[in-house]
Amino acid sequence: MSMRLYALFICLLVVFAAATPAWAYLDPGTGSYLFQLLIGLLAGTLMTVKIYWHKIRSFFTRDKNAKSNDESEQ
Amino acid sequence: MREANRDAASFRDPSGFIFHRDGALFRQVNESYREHYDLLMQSGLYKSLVREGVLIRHEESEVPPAEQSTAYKVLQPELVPFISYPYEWSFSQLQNAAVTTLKIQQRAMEHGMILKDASAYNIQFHNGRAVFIDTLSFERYEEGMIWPAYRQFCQHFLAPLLLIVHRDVRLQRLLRDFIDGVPLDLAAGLLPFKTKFSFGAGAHIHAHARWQTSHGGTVIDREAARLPRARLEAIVAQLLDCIENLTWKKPKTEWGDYYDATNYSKEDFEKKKETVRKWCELHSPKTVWDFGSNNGEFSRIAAEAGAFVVSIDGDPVAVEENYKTVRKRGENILPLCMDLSNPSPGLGWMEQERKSLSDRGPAEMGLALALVHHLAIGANIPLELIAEWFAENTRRLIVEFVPKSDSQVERLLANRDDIFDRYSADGFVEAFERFFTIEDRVEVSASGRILFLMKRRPNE
Repeated sequence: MSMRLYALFICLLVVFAAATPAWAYLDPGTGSYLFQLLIGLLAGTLMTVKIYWHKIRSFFTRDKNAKSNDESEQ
Repeated sequence: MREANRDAASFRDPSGFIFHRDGALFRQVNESYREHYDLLMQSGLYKSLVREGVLIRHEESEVPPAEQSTAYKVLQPELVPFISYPYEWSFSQLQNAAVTTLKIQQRAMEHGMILKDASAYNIQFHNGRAVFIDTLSFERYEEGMIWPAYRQFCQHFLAPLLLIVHRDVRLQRLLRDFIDGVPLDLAAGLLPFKTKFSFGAGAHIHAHARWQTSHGGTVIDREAARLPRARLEAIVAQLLDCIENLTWKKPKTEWGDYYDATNYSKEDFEKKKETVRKWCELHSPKTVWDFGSNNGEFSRIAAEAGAFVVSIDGDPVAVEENYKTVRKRGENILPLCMDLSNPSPGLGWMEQERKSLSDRGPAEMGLALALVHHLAIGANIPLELIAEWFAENTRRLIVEFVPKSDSQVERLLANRDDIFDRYSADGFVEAFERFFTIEDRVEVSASGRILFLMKRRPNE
């Protein structure tokens, strides 16, 4: 869920207007270069959030699994 | 030793180029690329990628370079039997090529290198697997670098894949017009509004395109504008995640259920298969082009007889199914999507960067089964021109004649005037005998379908 919210946030942040045609005399590489710095920050943050989310989730599921294993052993 | 000819498609990269000498293919590595080439070989990256089967293998060669003054080394790469292009691939081929490119980038980072090109033209297919063929696409990674191939990757892979998934599979043909991939502003305009809300399309296409326009003239201080390694890796991981999760809902096409809908009885169909098998085994060709291959049933027969088969059909659904089978079984077949009434032309600089279909032939043997009536009646191409085109592209041909009385042809003629007076078995033989010698013929159905085995006449 957190991932979806985050994605929505990004979309609202960066786009709403349609892209206007990029004419050939402009170098699209420059925009791509700068955009990578931005998207790197977002993707990096998202990745960190994801890792922590997995860690938290696996902590609880492990706990639960361990508990059910204990129960089955008894 | 004859003079070296530089390959017409190999001129953009200053690191080196492909050349031909005495009929063999070589790659010159330039002195300017020395550091990167040595790192590729010494870091273990080359070994690792070749072991996984995702990078073309090469040997260092003693052959003299094509341009002595700039040369560091000459490599002899393993040969790919047929060069195909992204506008000829099915959805899954393009998707597999994209995934392979990203995984190579990830592997390169583990060895202190980075992929500087992510061109779809650097990928070829071998037994259903994507293989990267440009040995000179790697360079040393330095902390803070951006991914130099990011924009190219979005244009060559992500944009066309998203357009297929969210709009129409026919938009893949944009790759034939835009040789450096689909421009992102064009892709953004064509994609549905809802795609702005997914991370993959929203960020890498829509926002990316907008930044290209709004920041086109900005001068960048490259010392200050640095991308930490973890962020670069996150971009690549995110792209990989996005591409692996794309699924194409196949539309129902004319040919998807072709073999169920034909009017062959089971016995007749077996007879047709046996005849094709017998003729393939008789001549055991090394290369076969199967024109109008549908899901590749007859390509499989030729491959079992030992041939490498290029299996061409105009229906993207049939080609997709064919490719999935090839990939699962690891067959020596290359499925390609092409409208045979409008085959791939020569493209790019001097029309030679990407070769036409004919320039990649001729094949030792061609299969044209249940095809000619589509070209002759469906596309109004005179039989003689069809025969001439086959003679240009194949040395030997197994071709099927389907008479007007056959329900498949009746269907083509159902709502139009029959202007095809010469379309008969005699007219067919007359047209093909101008270019071929008929070696054998077998009637394969009760409806009067005939299979011919023909050999191209020597050029007069």
